[in-house]
Amino acid sequence: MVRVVVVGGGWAGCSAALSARIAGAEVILIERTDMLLGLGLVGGIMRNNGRFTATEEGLALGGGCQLLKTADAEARHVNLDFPGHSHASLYDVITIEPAVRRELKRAGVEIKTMRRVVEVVHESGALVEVICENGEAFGADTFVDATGSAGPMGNCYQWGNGCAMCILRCPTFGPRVSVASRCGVQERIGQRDDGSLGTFSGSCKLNKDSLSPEVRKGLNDKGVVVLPLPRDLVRKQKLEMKACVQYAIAEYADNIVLLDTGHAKLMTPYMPVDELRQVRGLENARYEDPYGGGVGNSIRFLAVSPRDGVLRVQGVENLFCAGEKAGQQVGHTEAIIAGALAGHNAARAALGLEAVELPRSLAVGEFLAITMEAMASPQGAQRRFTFAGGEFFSRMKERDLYTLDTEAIKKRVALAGISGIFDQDLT
Amino acid sequence: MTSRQDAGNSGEYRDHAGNTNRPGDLPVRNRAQLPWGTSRRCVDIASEYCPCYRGVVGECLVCSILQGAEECDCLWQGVCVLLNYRRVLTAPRTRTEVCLPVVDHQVISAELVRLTLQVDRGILPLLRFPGTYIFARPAGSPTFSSAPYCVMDTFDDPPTITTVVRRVGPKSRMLANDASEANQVIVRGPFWGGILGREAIARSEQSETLVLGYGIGQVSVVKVVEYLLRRDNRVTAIVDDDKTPGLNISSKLQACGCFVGNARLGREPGERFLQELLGDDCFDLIYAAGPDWLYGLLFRLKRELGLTFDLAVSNNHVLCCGEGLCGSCHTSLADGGEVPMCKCQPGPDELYDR
Repeated sequence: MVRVVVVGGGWAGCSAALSARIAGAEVILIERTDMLLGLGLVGGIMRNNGRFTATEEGLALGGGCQLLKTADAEARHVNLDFPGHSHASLYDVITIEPAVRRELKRAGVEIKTMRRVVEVVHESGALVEVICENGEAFGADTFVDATGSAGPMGNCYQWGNGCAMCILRCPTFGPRVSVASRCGVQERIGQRDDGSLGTFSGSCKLNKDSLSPEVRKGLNDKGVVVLPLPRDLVRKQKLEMKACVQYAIAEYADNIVLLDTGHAKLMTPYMPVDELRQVRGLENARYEDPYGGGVGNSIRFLAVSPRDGVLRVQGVENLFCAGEKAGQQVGHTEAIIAGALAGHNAARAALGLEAVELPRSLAVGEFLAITMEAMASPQGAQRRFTFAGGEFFSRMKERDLYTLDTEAIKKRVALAGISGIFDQDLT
Repeated sequence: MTSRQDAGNSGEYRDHAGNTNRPGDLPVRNRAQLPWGTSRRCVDIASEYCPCYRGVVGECLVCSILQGAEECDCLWQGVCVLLNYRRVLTAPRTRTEVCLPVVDHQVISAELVRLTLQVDRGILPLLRFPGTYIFARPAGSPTFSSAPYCVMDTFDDPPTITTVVRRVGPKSRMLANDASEANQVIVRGPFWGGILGREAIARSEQSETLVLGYGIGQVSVVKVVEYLLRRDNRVTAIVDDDKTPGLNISSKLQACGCFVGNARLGREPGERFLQELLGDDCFDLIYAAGPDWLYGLLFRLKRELGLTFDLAVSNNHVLCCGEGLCGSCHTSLADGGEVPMCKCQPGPDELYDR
């Protein structure tokens, strides 16, 4: 039986692991913290804007994209509109991780948490094994690098406002290590408009119990609460700093937008507690994540791997990448899609089969193609991609890729000849 | 040494916070089982002497940014050195010299003198770890005449430490000749890099352990034995005083509750003795304090007999400044890198298993 090792247990890594397993490989998923999903533990936003289309395309492809169904099943709110976004789904950040873990276990993925990969053995352009901090080594036929692009703390300090103590919990578990960079691959770093490196994560979370009963009720009933900011607190320059272009619109600078994911998700990178508490309903607010959300947030896009259309990392023949490593992309849906493809192709490569590329007739294929193209140009360092907004959502609309018609989407995938392609057992 | 009321930010000793480090526990960082990257781990990280001058000039052993890199890619040891440096530091932290009175001076032999020095009570917890040493020189001597001496014993009341000075060269002769009762000795410390492979000691609990003390190496054995016994290990100690007649810690170890034997560990009889002693692979851990050939011999026996013990050894390198600055203790590693052995903690296998 061939073996695929996935390093990084976030959304991308989980999706990759599931895809590779369904394709018939033995799969080991290595995660440095004690839980799966990484930033997904404090995320929750699905199916908004173009993500709806991408989700339906993904479900038609199968494999790791089945995790999109898991997110649907854990939704606290569905078909929700909030400023700039339509028909969103918000999953419960508390129940999602056990649900994903169950899925992976049921499929037979071997999950190894509390293992931080710190070094690799590679020769002649191929990865032989990855070595964890405690000395454990894992060899495989092919590997997937889903280690993400946020932090470590020294980077968050240099390019952000310091370590904000976010869910990634670098000080506790040790920060991420890029497998690709350990193989000698020169990685790209994203930039902000002012040329500084990386980007702030776009949201933080308030403890719901610290909010007023009215705000809590609004969140529980409607899923979204919009509270106007006192005029002197409006800070438009925050918009440029975000990773998430989909929230870089005026509504977010003028208002507090809260979404209910189990936490109260505040759609801004950070906000001083004193200012936050000037807003009605938030007089006693405190942060759930990051703990230092009054000062800063994690910095991401600090490690994007040059790769090809099948998500193979350039220069390492048996290493694939997914999630934020595969491009300056943000979002769970984006990570799950890339992960599903990377995992599937890792299994294909391990079995000696040719890897597949997603066609540009699909939004998901177009997405991976565009993010790859952006890597090739220096200006690309400042672009951000997501189905949920910004330049790619506009592109989807221009090309008639954006639709809510699930039947049409299924047909689109069938027409491309790849319905259920990730659901096949290739052995 | 600075006078301190409590351990403060030091990662070393945190009993006031009810932390897991018990008094005298080794200052091993979060991850005691770190075989990877051990070569360049820094013994001072997270202590009150971090960041040091190396970090300030861009030669930190751990932090990539304090090595001049643009990105953060460190040898993570539980603490972000950069954050400490940028947000906390006002000046690099280094040990400074203090004058300590000699409260006891015992001539063991023509070659050996045991000194007992009075210390500040606040610094005592930092001197208790196995592998702790100080630099010392007589009062009035040039600053560059200080040499490293292992802390053999620590006492609470009155707060004192003992060490043994062996006349081997000019520095040790100066100190042995000059230091007598009521004199002052100028001391710099504490330094914690006296043992290589100390993670193996730190993770030994309820195990079968062997301690070998050869000559002056016996001085470092006392603290190791006490530590191992505190953690419910069975300890067998073999002592060889051939090179240091008069210095024999057997009775002291026996008083601790350790099984002690005397033997000759050198040459062929020594090798035969060790072969028999180790032959049935009953030891989980061996701590050896002696010359390099002893360490090499142990690794050779381990390989030839297929044994499975972990080995920790006393640091034999020539230490001169203790702060990773002077270059005296630099050693080449198998991967071609050079590291200062006062700061870095390669495993014994990297240096002696060849």
